[in-house]
Amino acid sequence: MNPMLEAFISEARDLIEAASSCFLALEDRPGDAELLNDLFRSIHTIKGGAGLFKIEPFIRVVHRAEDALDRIRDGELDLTPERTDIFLEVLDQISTWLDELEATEELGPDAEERSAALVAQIEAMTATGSASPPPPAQKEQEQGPVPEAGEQPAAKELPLDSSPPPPWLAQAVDACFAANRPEILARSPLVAITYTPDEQCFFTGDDPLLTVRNTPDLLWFAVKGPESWGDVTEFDPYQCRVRFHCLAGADEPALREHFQYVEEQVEFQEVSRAALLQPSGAPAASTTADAFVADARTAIANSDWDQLASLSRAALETAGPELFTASALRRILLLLAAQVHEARLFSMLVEAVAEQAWPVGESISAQPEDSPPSSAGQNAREDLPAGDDRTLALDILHTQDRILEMPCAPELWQGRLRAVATTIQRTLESLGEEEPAAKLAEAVAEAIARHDATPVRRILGSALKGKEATVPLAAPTAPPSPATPPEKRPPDLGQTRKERRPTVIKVDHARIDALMDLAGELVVAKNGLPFLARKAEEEFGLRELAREIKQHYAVLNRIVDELQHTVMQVSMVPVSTVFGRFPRLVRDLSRKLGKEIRLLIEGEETEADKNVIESLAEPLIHMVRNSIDHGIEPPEVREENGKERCGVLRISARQTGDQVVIEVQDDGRGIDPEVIKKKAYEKGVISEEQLDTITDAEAVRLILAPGLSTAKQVSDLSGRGVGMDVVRNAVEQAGGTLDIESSLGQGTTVRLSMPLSMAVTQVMLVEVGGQSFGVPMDAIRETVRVPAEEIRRIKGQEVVVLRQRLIPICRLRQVLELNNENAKARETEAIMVVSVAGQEIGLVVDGFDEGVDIILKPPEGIMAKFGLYAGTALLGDGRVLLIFDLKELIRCL
Amino acid sequence: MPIEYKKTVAVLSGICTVEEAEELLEWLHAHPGGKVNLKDLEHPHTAVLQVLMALRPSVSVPPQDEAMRAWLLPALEEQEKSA
Repeated sequence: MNPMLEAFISEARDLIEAASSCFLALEDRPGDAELLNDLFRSIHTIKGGAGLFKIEPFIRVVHRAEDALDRIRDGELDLTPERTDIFLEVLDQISTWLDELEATEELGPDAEERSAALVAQIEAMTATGSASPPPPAQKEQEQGPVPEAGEQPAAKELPLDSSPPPPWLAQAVDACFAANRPEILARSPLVAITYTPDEQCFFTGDDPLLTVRNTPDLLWFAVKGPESWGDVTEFDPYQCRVRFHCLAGADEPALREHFQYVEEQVEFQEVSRAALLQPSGAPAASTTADAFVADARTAIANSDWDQLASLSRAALETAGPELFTASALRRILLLLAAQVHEARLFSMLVEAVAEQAWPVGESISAQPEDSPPSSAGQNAREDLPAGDDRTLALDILHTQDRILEMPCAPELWQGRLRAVATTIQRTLESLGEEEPAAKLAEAVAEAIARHDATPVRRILGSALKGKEATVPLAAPTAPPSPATPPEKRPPDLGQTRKERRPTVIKVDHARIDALMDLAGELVVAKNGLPFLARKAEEEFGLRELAREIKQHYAVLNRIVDELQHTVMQVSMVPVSTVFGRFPRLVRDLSRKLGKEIRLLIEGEETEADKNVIESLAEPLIHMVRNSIDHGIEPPEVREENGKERCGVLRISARQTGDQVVIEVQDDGRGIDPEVIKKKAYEKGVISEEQLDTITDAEAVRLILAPGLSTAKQVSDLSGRGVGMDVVRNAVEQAGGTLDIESSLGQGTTVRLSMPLSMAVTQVMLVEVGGQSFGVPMDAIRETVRVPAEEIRRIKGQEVVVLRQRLIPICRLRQVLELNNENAKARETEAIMVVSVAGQEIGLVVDGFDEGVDIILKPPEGIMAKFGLYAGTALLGDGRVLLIFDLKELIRCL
Repeated sequence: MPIEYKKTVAVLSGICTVEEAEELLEWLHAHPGGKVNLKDLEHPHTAVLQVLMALRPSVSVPPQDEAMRAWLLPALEEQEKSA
């Protein structure tokens, strides 16, 4: 398969998992912003990845879902359980599609239909939710740059006009002047786009330059390299290191859509014409342009634009090109070329030339770089809850006060005063207060006349006092910390991403399996050394060599053990990978069945081999389903029985020894042993005697017995047993055991034990008729040698009494029909007591050998027919060992 | 073939894809005085553009397309200035 597709599928699966757990968590914590963001990110990443392949139906659905989520994230829609249902359905469909992609590299034939159906569902759900149902086609327009779109997503990306324009704006305008492209000033407002592509973007098929060049209504753009390219000989062409600065006239929704796949790498800022006009450069001595200023004022007053143009051109020739004056003059000329004849703008520029400073009120960042208030003010706004205009206004007013306090060169003072006054006036206007604004004009005139800012500050003070009385503001008088460093800005995305990159590699499970097999083979090979040592000693009489071999064996043993352990660790996964599905399952089922269920999951961090965990998934789902379906009663019934309405389903995992024990416990109605007994008797599963003697616990366990549990009636009678047989088979096939406990009316516990790892099995070697066989160690209870006379016969069945228990025995030699002729009576018999499915039985063997670790290979080919053997293994001395499948063995008796 | 390598000049034409970036880089390393002819270049992939910006080969023929010149040449020049 295409490795990209492979990576996408595996990544998308993880993301789906993450997304569905987010949905479920959101049911508990509705509106949790972080969860919503995670959720959105997951879906967004899936969409991004999907874009690489030709799977339109897939992308369409994900795209719609993302849109809907976006609206939920912005608080436009609520995440109701019904909507969650639809989202979960979408995730399911995506999952199915991923399976299809994995199998055939394309979507199934009905993908179009399914996609359309889901899209329709999503649309219906988003439409019903909003107060004025917007048809999806209009949705985009709805997000237009309407000023009152305060809660719209757009507002976040597009800050207020007064936000500091990107620092490269002046450069952009100068470049346009040089290129004689006045059109950027012809329209207003523009959107300034700063696009910093991800360093790795080439690998996802991005061409940022192409994206930029295709920007709708692109007016100007520049490509910027890094500060330094570093050593060019080591330059990596596949690491994207350029940035883009663009000015576009398009409305913001269109731009957002254009950059939607790289949204997080792009900053949008709306820039007004005034912001574009802000000159840059070093201020010159104030006298140089006096003549020009006077003439220009007249020209503006007379609307004599040609005159203004020639004045500016002449002044530009004499001004140093790097100076502030030249910069302002260039803008005047550009503005003229753009045919924008707004006297206000020209005046602003001419006054800027006169005062060598840009009016503060026009753009906050026009203040000198080292003055903190602008960044403080900006910062305060970032920290404020959106929409708290008054607090923001107060902050601005405080800032103005501080500006007036600051020392200032006398020639700049008047300009500053005016700028401050403008800001104050506008701020007050925005708060709807006209009256102090009128007074302000008088105060400014007075202040200029007296060359003292006090009158203005007085007005400012009284305005502030009025506000502070009405607005509960947290310490507004505390000067906004000047130490709000520029680092507070959103951190560089590339950087954070690098840090976040996990040190986890994804490895194909087949490789781990191969590694595990090899480690296992090594175990076997290692086991050959003791044989070699014995041979050296016994056959060749080299005792010394034998000793050395044994020493080496000890070393090798240690290393191999560690290796095996490590490899096992690698393929260990927490059971949470399976448990993770349950919240969803429980939620769906309980909604469907109208039951109230609280799911408790414990010990999800318990680890076990991936294969084990995978084989657990199916049986566990069955078990959980059973508990919900048949165990936990409907809320009304529960109340009648004096239980809480809400049933509790507890799924826990823990590790004991080399086993993982998983319990599914419910506090439902439990299993009635009488009913089971009766049923089992009717079905012939138990005899009449057993019916009388069987304990309740055993009776409950009968539900696992084949022949009873598969019967449909049982599920009606006991409320349990659907597929319990199936569950048991699956568990046993994976080498586990299943047990069940129940008390009527109190609930049921199903306990499942699985080996931690299936790779290496411990077996004990036994000898029967001159052959070695392996018996799985975990089934062996004890090995005893019993005098022959202690073996008795009860009704044709040989038994032995061990620790006051009657244990039936079977002679393997007879059962296997091996060398029966030299089976002479012995004085003592070697009996291996094994426990299978809760039943103990003694196996009579010829002799016991050591226990060994083996890798069990399931029987193949012809051997597969012999169910008696669980598999074969290679012994250290090269012999092939047959391992008994004890369950089968006992069934054959 | 979007990039044609001559003795001392690499001729970029049409649309240069991301695959061409490495080749161009190698050629420029191998030909330190190598020039680039951008006359018929319609679109360089960002990776190709980066190579030009980082290695700053001299441009023997600027792009025909005026809009293209408007952004491409400043990008290449800027690097010369700052480097």
